Amino acid sequence: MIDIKDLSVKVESTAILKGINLNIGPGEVHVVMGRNGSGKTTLAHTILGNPNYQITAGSINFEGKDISNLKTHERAKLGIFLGFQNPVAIPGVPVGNFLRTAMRNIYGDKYSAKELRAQIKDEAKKLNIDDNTLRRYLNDGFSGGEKKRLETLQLRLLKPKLSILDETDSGLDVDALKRVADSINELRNSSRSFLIITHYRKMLDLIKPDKVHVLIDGKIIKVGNLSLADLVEKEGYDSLIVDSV
Amino acid sequence: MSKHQIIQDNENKISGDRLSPLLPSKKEDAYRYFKFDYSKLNPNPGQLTQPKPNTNQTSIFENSLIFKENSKFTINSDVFDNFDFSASSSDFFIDRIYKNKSNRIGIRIAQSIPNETPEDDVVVLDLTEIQFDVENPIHIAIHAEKHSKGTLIIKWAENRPESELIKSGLLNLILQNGANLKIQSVQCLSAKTDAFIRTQAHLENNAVLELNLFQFGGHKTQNRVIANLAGHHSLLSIEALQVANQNQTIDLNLEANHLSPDTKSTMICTNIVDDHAETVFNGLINITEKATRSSAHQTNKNILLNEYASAYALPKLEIDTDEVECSHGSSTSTLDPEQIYYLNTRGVPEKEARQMLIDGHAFPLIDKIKHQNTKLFLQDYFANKTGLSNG
Repeated sequence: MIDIKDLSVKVESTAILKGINLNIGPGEVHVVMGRNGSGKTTLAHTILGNPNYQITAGSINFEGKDISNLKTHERAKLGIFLGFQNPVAIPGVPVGNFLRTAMRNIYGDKYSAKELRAQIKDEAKKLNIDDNTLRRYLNDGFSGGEKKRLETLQLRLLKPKLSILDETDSGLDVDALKRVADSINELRNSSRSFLIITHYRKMLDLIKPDKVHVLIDGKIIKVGNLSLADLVEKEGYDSLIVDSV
Repeated sequence: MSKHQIIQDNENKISGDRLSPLLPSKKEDAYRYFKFDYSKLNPNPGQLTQPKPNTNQTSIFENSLIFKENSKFTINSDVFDNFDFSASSSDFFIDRIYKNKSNRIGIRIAQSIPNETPEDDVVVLDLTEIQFDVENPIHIAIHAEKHSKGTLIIKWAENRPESELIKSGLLNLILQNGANLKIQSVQCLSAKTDAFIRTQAHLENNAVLELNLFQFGGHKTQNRVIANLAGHHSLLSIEALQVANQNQTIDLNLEANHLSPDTKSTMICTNIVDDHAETVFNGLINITEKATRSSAHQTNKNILLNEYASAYALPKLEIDTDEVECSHGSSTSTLDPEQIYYLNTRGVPEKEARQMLIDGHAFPLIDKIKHQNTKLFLQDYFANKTGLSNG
């Protein structure tokens, strides 16, 4: 699905990622863990083509195609989705209008306006998002939990091939966390992949990832299965740094 | 006479000298550019003179307005004493309201308004067909009686796109105790027209005045609002949206004079500026010694869509008493790249994302118009105008 090779990225003049290698196959769920400031969010935004992040070396191939020079909206149309850690508020743009616009851009003319509205309403209901929320302005005055729920709703509506979820589980109560995990598990199939950035072991129990990567100081220092997350939780990242040295 | 002394008002003793020292040099140039001045307006704008008999009557309201019993809008009998629609025992219909030869329009909003007035029950005063200019300004007087309630849309437009007129209009509002008046002023004049619109408002006890100002059209236009919150607990709310492109200058002067205790005012002005256009926001909140426990808030937001566009902001507070709650502020920025990026990640291309953000700055205020035809007209006008911006 996505093949990242020797990826180095800088922001302004600061090197953040220093030779990342990551390959996620169709249907696989990978998790990236790491300390704050280690480069996890940079990796996510670089895959989406955020203009603030400059690739200095390496490549990103999606379904066999180099996407390094594609614009962000073109990557989204290919089926790459980023669930934001802290999505920006856009006052004046109602949630419902935004969702319809996004779906129209992703799906083209596949659905009529009426069908789009019905899908939005249906999926919103599953996440306990009411009609009033759909009329509110995008993330404007939303609590942390409401923002995360709206990101999850977009995930369900846009049904991307590769979903990158940047700490979508942070700050959620147990029920909300379960709803996010349920959405991931529901969408998960042989052609959809996930890259999940998280600090929390609980999320991993619910989604049971195929691989866990530990990212420290811009480099992936360890790859393993769920037991690697157990090790991190038990002994912290320092023990892994010592091992890798 | 200096170029700023032309801003003079006999009734309110407001002179241009009070504002001019704060004006940036470019704005001074803008004032100088205006070929008309206040002195050409009615020297006593607060008083309506007795009219001549109605001749040359012109219909200026939309057809088929339905006025219920104890109608809200009636023609001011002081101005047009041969028209009186105020008393009726049953529903009646009015499809024409008249102005007189000297471009004076009087509207009285009568007492005893039914409480359950539908939100979209508004009157539209369409000035498209009215001939007026700086030599013959239009003068609209609205007298909202005690505890009356009404919404009036004034559409400043013209059907001669190539006119190079200098238009001027004067709006006098008197709100008696407890009156609640909403005025939505939609200015979509032709691209070559210069215009000056002036509003004076007097609010008595517990009166509420809501002004929504849409300033989209014209070449160089200036809109000046002076509101006196004379009565206790009177409330003024002004929200303005100004959209300028090409070589337009759109200038908004707002002044709220708090003259009594417990008065409240808010001013919110959003300017969207493209091409070589410029906007001016000049807001003054004046809280006098008597206006204790008053509150006043003033916000100006300028969105520049182009490196050549400019916005001048002069938010100002003058406070002569304690126990008040006041704030003012102004911000100028381009469209937020973080917001554009977020939309991009959802498949929305750059140009469409920019348009969504521009719409987002404008639509909340446009949505306050409940009259569907006017709302659609304004949305179309806005879309045509801002759609020119390709970023």
